[in-house]
Amino acid sequence: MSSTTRRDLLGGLSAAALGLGLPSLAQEGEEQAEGLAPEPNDSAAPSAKRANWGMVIDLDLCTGCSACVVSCRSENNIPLNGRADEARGCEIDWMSLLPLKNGGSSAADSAGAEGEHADPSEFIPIPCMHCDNPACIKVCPVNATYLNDEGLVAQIWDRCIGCRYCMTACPYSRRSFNWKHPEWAEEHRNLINPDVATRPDGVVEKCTFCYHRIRTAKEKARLDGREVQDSELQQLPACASVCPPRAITFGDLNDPESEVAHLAASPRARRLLEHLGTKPKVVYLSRDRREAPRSKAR
Amino acid sequence: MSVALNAKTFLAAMFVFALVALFSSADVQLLNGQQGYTPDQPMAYSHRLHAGELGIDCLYCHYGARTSRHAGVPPAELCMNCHGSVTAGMDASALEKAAAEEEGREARQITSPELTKLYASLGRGPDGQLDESIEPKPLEWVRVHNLPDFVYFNHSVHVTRGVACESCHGPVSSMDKVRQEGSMTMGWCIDCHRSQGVTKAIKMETRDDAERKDMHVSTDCAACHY
Repeated sequence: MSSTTRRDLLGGLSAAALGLGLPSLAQEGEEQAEGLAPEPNDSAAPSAKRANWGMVIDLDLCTGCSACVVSCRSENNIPLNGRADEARGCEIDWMSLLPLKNGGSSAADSAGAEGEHADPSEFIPIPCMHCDNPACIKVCPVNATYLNDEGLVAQIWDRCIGCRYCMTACPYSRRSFNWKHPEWAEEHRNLINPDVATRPDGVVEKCTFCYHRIRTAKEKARLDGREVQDSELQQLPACASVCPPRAITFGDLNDPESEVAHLAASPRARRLLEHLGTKPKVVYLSRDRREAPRSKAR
Repeated sequence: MSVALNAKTFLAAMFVFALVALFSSADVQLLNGQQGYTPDQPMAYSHRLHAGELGIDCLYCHYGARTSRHAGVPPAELCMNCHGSVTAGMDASALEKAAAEEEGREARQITSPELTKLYASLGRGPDGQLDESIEPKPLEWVRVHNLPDFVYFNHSVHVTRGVACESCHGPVSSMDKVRQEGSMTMGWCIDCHRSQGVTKAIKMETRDDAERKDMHVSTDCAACHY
């Protein structure tokens, strides 16, 4: 029940943000540009080249197949707690796929769109936004979550005391609490990924942009005596690596040559709830869904 | 007066509680990890002999340390590179040779009892030759250095940047039975990371091929915890 409410709320939020995103983009062009290519962090000044990880999700390519959700669960050892937990609102979700209520800014519009089943392929995958100005880290009493020098909102499971302030603060509901100890059925135990720590009960967890994969890529590049290539990064996180239409692109927003930086500069680019000033680093590409027909996309 | 009594009782209770907590809880061991842990191994392999006296490089056997996260335990086949022909210690071989000369016979091949275990694990007889009747069964080495599951350590990034094995593992080349030398706690790691971060390229026992410049020594939590 509460889960349904949360989903509805998120769906509504996403619809509002995407539906109304364009005008606000036009008005706040300056702020937008600043947000998409943030200045390098002064505290990390000694090594001039610091990555700023970001993700672009092309909603016009997304088919809503849920592969990203499944691969995220499998990669990051998120236990399948079953329907009962989901019904209680206790499910753990790092990457959610929500139906996008097309352009519905009012309840009547949304109802209309739903009634017609206007476009069954309209979904919005929502990972952690890894905001540049995250609301969640400001409320953590124990510094268990912080913005690291590569722009990731990191969460240190072992430091978390489970107060759940961050869950309340996150406007995207991208954090989940471990209500019980994670368990895997005997036949699933061999599927646990040894590269990612399992989280105990009583801590909050969230998407890490597959930080273990980033580290592995960097360590491999270092051993080969080269820089990490953008081509290795584009489909690096588990969600991006399995996306059949390649709707998800990952990379370094600080690198002007990277695919993700190009895409983030697209006129179709918009971000969720950007009026809150969180400066999310997940950028959505979407045609203006209020009026433009699909053929005029791009 | 009753206040003072209460305070005394409280302190006494706290003391008893602390003692009970210290001695009953296994978690308290986490504070110093397993420093000094020296488990028995399935065979008496001596690092003192191989790495110390014979001077075999650590990376000859633990070759994974240069290219991967894990240093790894070498496969028994790697031992056979030498032990295909060396079947006993030099002392034992010399004694047998002397005895054979005295008795006017040809020296027999002798095999040390420890190496017999190695050969048996490969399905080989005491003479080092394949023996159909012996079922190959890998030796079950006991892990000495074991980090908690929520910590990720990468050997290759440390080894290729000039951190000597001994910096963390201690004087293994003088140990017959391997002992955990450092505490391997987070503070122990961070101590080094902080001092390295300040001095960048602190003088250490470095390997020849090691890069010593441009070390970025991270103190980001997520560098090890993810």
